[in-house]
Amino acid sequence: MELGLVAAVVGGGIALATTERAVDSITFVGYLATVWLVLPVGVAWAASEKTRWGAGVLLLACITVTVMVLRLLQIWTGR
Amino acid sequence: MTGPVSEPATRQGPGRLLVAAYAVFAVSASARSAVQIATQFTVAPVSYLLSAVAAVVYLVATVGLMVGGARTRRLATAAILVELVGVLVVGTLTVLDDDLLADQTVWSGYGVGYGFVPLVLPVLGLAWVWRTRPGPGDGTR
Repeated sequence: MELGLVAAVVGGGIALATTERAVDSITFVGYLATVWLVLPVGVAWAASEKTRWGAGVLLLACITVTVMVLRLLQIWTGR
Repeated sequence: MTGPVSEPATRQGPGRLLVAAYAVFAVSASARSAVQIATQFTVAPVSYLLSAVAAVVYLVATVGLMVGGARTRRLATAAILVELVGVLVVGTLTVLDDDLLADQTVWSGYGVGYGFVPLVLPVLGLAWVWRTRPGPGDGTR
């Protein structure tokens, strides 16, 4: 999943750099720069909590990534 | 609530998830208000300043709960109280007058744009700070 995200970040960056369309680039780059960090940080934060709350942190990280990817698609298509 | 002495109570168990939720809001609110203030501040200055205030409040609450010392607990509690008052006041005002603010904030309509999480979070936060309060005389409970 993380590999796919990194690939998406690279692909998104290239797509943004080469597109001729007007895209809200500051926001787009902001999401790209952050989205690949969510899972590692979430895993690190959940690691020392071996209870269902640790699993909850992982779930929250996954939901966050999902929302961010959806927002990226929205920004790309201009909403 | 006992655990390793080195781990503050506010970041254990449910606190783990609470801090994570606060962190998500802190980062997203900061980033969003920073972009808005930088690129389109004149469109809705009050909304964006309010969003920036909310972002700072979320940041303070996140760090306060994460660190969990005596002073940072009080800091976190104060931040969460501001958050609760903020979401209630802004929520009520925006429900009464939809055109009051020129653009949406995290707290508009009691946080309806964010699944009402901004309304639930401070309540959970206060409950959690209360549950993990140190017992009289000791700092371990």
